[in-house]
Amino acid sequence: MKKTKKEIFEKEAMVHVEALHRTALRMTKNENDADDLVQETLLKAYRFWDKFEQGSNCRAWLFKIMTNIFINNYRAKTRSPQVVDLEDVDDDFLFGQLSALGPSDDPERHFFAKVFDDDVKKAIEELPEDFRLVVVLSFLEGFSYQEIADIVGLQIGTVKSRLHRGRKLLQKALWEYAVKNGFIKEAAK
Amino acid sequence: MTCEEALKRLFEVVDKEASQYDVEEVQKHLEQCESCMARYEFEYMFKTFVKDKAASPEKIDRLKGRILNRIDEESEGQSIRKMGPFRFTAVAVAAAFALVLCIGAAFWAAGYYRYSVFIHPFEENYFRGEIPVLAANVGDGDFNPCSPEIMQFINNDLSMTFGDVQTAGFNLIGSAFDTIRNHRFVHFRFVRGGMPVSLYVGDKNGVELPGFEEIKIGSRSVYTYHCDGCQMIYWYCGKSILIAVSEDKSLPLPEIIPAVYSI
Repeated sequence: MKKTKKEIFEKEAMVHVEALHRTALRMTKNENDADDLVQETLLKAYRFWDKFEQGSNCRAWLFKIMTNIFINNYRAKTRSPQVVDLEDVDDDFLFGQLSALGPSDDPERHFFAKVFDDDVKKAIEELPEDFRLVVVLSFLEGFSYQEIADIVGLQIGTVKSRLHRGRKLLQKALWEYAVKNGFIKEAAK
Repeated sequence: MTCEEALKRLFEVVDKEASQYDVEEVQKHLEQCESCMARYEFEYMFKTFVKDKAASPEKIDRLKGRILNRIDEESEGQSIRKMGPFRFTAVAVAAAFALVLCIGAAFWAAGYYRYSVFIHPFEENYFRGEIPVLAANVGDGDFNPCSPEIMQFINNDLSMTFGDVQTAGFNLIGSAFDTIRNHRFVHFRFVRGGMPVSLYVGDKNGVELPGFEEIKIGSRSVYTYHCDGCQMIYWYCGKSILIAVSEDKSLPLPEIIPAVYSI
């Protein structure tokens, strides 16, 4: 018996709700908006299901729909230009800080074990939006640079540079949390 | 390849975007260069760390149910189809969740709400299958995974019996943390259809864990247990069982927790 549209949709698209929701949460920073964003995404996907090329990457297609809705409807209406000063942050900022703590007690492992989930989520949510989106798509969802470029509608070079800067900002923020929470006692400079 | 060249390719390699040739060249360099190796290992670990911490499962069953209902509404006029198994699950999950909220509301009035976490009161065979047991924090709505220590404890050392169904090593994918007096706890509450739940605490083979200690607080008994990464206490409270687990082994749980819950 031929499967109905809804049955196929459930099998192909609904399985990605969890991933979509996780990204939506980090982007909207609130559960109600995340729920609404995901619902809107799936309803739109269902309406346009005939346009989706069966066999192509459904997950990336859904993320593209969601990103468009987010950019158009959810992100702050008045966006001040994002000024991010990374002049004083080295590429190896976090690694350097942790290495400086001394080799004896494996500070990297200690750091990774101690930082709370909430702190990581918060650090991601506090990234400027442009960086946050590419960081989430890469780190959490494992999309390739090319897929991210397609989803967000950017050049691949821009994706790379945003990811690079986003990664630095994230490491810096997490280091600051760890120091603030006392997991790490900052090395005397 | 020099260090500079190896580090220039660092993120592309870590993100699995580098060419096969570059990966091999970097690999050759890393075999000879300890400091670059350390840096590469760190960035790999960092990526995994962020994913593990920030991609914990969220409670979305209710959302799935809601979406499918909306799809049904939109497709009204089409022939009525048999309810698929997925839909049934989603509805069942939504119904159970609603029940949890009702019970939660009752406990709110009783002052237990804030620090409690429910494990959904599902049917017995819910615990048998592959469906993960979900814990929902009804305190602040957050849903955080356990620390590895607690996960290990729950998965390896703790088994529970609901009626006659044993749930050794059941797949608890999450629980919630609360902060009480600056200490972080993970809490579980078990209720099943408003009926008392018999909790068996023992190892996977049904052997009672050694070292469980009964402590009397007033007329009530609290049971404590210490394991490698954490300590736990549990006690009976009305028709449910409350468990508190803490990673801090020096914490006087039997003193703190009953005071918080005024048991």
